[in-house]
Amino acid sequence: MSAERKAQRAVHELSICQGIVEVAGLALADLPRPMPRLSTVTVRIGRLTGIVPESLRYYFDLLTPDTPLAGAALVIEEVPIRGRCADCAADFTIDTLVFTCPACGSGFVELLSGRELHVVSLDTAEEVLCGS
Amino acid sequence: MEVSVLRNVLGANDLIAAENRKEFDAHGCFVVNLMSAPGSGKTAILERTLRALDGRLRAGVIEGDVLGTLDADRLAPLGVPVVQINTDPHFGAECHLDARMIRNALCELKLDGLDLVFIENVGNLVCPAEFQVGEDRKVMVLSVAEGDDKPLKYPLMFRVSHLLLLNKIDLLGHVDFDLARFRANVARVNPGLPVIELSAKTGQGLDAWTRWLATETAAAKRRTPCGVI
Repeated sequence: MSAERKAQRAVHELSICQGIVEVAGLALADLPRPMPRLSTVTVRIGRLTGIVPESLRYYFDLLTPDTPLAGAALVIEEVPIRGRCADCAADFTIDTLVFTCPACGSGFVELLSGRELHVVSLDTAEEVLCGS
Repeated sequence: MEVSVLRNVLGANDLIAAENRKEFDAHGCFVVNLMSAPGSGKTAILERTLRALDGRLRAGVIEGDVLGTLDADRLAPLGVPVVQINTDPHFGAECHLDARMIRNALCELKLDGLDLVFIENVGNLVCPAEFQVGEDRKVMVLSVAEGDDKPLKYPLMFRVSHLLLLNKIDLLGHVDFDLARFRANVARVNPGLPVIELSAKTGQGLDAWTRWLATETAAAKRRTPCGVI
């Protein structure tokens, strides 16, 4: 992590992590049957969000002890930035932060992925018998 | 046992932003979310802009800062309604304005009779890009002193913005900023992004910016009375 990004750790990932804890807590409360001892919370984070996974995990461990998510680990699925050219319909991955079409050079590119900030699943270490 | 719960982390914020937008639309207000790094000249641009508009468009301002009322104090002599938001009380000095803070500010800012609302975000090129507040347009400011490489370092901010104000162009020649290289970098990240070069200090380029505001405000007014967007 660059010095510049480390200095910003105090800001960006904190507010996003607060959102994750809030949303995951609400999702947990909404489950039709209680989920004992959460083991993991899985989130999907697009690369264009600029989130540093290491910082997100740091805040998750800091924010969760006194919440229903206590003890859970944060699993981060990173989503690449993908685009589709509006002119030639080519699909491509954007990993150099150049948003022009590599096939025809067009600048009209629709983003297919890369801005995700989603809580996708909750997992418990214990097997819960279905239908019991 | 794994349970799928797919939820957007910013979903709650986006819902409040949509409510804010409805309220702005109901009053026929065009809303600009002004974003930049600290020190790019957002407040200086606002001072100069509000003077130039001189009541032709009736404007209000929501000022966001981590602490203090320095910016609101600067705008006070201009006789426009200004509401200051301090993000400090919101958990650990927030680095951006979110929709809920704007919702609260709307209790203080009377929208009746306003054509235009500027929301001056907290100085930061990262977080504000992610949070909708109910704005019509996101306008970012970059000053030439910050360097021509910034589009490649903060691509999301340059992607989400509808207009870029390149400020402090009176310093071109004094700082290491290559205008052609900058435009090429902008084109790599967001080729459709319009750029207005200006100087809040000398007033150069301000006309293009106030014309943009007048055109966009008129367009917003046309679509709001019936709620047709």
